[in-house]
Amino acid sequence: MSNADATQSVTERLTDRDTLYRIGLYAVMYGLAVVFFVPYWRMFQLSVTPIAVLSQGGFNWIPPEITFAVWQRYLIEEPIIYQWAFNTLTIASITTAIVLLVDSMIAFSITRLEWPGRGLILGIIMASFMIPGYVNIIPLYTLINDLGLMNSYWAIILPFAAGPLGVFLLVQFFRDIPEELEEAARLDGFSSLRIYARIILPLSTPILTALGLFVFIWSWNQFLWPLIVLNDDALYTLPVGVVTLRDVNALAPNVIMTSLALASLPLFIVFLLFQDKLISSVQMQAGTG
Amino acid sequence: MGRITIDNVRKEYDSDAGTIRAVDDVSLNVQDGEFLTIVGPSGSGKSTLLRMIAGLEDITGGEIRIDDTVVNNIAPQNRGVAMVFQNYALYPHMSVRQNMSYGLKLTTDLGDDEIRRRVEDTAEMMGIGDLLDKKPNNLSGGQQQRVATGRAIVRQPDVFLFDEPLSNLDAKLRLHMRTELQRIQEELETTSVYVTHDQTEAMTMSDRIVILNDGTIQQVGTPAEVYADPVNKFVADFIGSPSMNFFDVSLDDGVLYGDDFEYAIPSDLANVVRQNARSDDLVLGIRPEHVTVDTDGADTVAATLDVLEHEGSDNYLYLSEGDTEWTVRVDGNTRFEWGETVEFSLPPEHLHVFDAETGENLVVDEGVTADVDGSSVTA
Amino acid sequence: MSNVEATTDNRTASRWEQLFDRSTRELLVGLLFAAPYLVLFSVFLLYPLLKGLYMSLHEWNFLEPSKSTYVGLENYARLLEDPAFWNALWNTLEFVGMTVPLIVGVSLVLALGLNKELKGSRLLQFVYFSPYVLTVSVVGIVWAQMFAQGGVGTQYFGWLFSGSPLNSKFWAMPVIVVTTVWWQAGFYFAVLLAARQNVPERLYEAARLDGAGPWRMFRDITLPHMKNALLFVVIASTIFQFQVFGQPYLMTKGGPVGNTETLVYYLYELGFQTRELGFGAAVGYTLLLILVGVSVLNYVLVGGNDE
Repeated sequence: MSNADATQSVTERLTDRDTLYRIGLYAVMYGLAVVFFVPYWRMFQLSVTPIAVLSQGGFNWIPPEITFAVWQRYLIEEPIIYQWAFNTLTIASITTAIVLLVDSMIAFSITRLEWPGRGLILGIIMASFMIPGYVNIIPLYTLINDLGLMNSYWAIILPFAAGPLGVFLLVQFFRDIPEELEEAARLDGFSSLRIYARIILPLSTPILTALGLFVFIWSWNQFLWPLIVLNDDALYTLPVGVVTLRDVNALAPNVIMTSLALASLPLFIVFLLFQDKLISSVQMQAGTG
Repeated sequence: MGRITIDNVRKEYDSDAGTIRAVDDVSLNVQDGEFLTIVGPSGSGKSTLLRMIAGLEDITGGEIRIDDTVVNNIAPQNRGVAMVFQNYALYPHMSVRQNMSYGLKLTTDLGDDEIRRRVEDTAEMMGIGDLLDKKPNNLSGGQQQRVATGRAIVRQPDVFLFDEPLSNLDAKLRLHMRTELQRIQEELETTSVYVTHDQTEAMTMSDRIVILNDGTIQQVGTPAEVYADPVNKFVADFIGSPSMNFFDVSLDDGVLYGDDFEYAIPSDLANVVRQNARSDDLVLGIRPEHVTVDTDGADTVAATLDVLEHEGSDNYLYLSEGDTEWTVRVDGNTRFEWGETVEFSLPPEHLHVFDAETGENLVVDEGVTADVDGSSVTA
Repeated sequence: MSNVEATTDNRTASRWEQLFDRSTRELLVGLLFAAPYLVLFSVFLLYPLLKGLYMSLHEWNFLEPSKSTYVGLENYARLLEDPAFWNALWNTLEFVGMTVPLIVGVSLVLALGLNKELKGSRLLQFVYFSPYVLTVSVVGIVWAQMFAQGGVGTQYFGWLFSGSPLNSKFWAMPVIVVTTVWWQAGFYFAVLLAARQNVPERLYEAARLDGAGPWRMFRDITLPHMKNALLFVVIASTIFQFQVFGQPYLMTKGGPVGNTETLVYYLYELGFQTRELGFGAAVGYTLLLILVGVSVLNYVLVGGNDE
């Protein structure tokens, strides 16, 4: 019986410590979440605070008065933000489509077709992985200029689509698709094109979705490069456009914050819809890194 | 029709260690409607040979013909062959019906109705009629195997190629599918080439067996032939389960001397051996099922019982004397005690004597065994 | 077998098969599939890379490139004596040196905490990760606002600074660092969470039976199993943070007095404000060499000790 007593007291002690530990854990994790949430709250809070309150100075967590006038103005009266959203959406969509198509094609070619030199080409593409995008901006700028692509969607789309990340990810993935499947398909009379389109692509939807989401988000969020190659109000992307709005509305934080909230909204919705997908695709990248 | 002629076919790979010859100068004829099995240990080149017939591997040298067409440069789908893969290779994103109909759609001009009819007939024959709209991942291993086979059958090819199709199934299911495949092949009378490492499968299913080792053909023959008259020690060892007993012996004056036994053999057998032997180093071989336990025979060998294994209808005795170990099959009803000394005789008609160095069988009856290179073999 | 017409008739080589042998066919098809990406890659990545090297050896004339003059390594020599370059390099190192450890620490805490079963863990995950999907303009402007007049940072930490911290030589960089950690930690948190969840639970059970406490379990089981993921986080965040541009551009304009001007910012000014393209290209190449060096060094220091 002494044995049973000892066991019980150990469990009790453990339970006590466990409870304390869990309380601490909840406090830390939710505390951090609150801290992480503050910038969002400030963005929203300021966007609905009337300019009269703001110009009094002072600090509030909850504004004494609330107005959706600025939201209304942007959503209904000022079309420029729609134009920018459209530009950004177009660029991000075309970039994503191109990346998925050409990257999967070359990854298929390298992993599934046998031709001399494919190892070397893969090696060069992998080596270029070491080269961070920004170091190339000056020569790239002269190239875009020479090609007459300044102030066009293509100036942003094409350099982005040349990046090696997608090839890298897809090569890894395609390698793991069993070869027997492809052989069975050849005996069934599949051409290379059909094997690519009917076997490899359908089997790769998880990685293609992950890659597509990421390319879309990165492309959408690009800042430095669009800043360099776009010099026309009507062509701006959201990230570049909202900066010009800030400069114009320096004295009206509510206007600035509304435009920022609006600019963030589309990707926030994407994230809400694809949270698990997106997070697992982060993990896929790291798995290969 | 589906006659396969393989002429001096070679397959070489380049590797870091130089050129590797996976298949070395193989010649073989497969008759129309024949069920031919290629057996060999892993790395013997059997799968490579099959894949060259399918067109999945390039042929380094030699020629493969199907009927009268040289197929070396013909794409797999145009060779009139269908293959069942070891891992089935079913398209995971397609239903069973789509899996089975794809090849027909791409390689024939058949209309949709005709394709549907054929797929359904084949599915009925394979007993998977009610699975047509499922995805492969929802099927059991046995069902997947049936779909894979059905996918090959529905093409109505001239030649079936099987690459270890049953090796992923559990023992009971494997036995069942073995008879099933035999039944189908007999029904369709389609030429079949079947690769396996399992000699039991080869023995039970085939019209003829090809035994391959290190990329070369060791022997071609009916199951009975390769069992009774193996041309060399490799074949003798590979065919039959449990495998043949082997002992290093020398022959002196009609008596075989082993390390721990001696045994007199009939003089005509001794003569044949002496005639064919190139040295004094010989290997005596006898199958466990041919050793005869008799306590009162004239010439017997004695050994002590170490282990007795019950296998239902049969018992296996594991005996030893000195460093020499014997495996003997006896009737399931026979009783022995552990440690008992067992006496047995070796019937001369079942004795094999091999050259220790080359492994060649010195007592093979030339008339029975097939020509090694297979080119003169007829069914 | 009744039906042979379907396959037998086909047993002839198609025109395509007659025209080329198998390896030629594979080469042609292979190149056809590879070509679209290879064109993009060569034109928009490889060519600029080589052209950058070429430009860096010239006094480059943007309007009339043919009038550029070859100057050898002069741009690189100038760079070594350029205080603005050294300033930018120092600022970048300062930024990376503060940001990377903080990112690793914060993301590790978030990952280990969320690995336990918590109520609302999906919501927490959403909050931690979500800043990562924001564009740098939103991040930079919101955080600049928080440290401006009436901002939350000024309200609670104002006693630390006199005036706006973004105008303070001492505080401007730390504010940019905190901003960056908020923006980026979620990404690395997701990586580390996955790595933590991949540690087999039996190991902890075995360790508990062996009498290991929480700290020992963390040190002897968790850390070794997460090593590769941590290495990825360190290298990836170092390389990414080295290229910081948007935050100083939006929050401080590189100020005060160039105190937050980073290498990419400097590159941007050279290329697109003062138009010293040849010199800018040299800065770009130097940045490239530094980054390749950093990854190699990182690998040797952090990753090289297990083999």
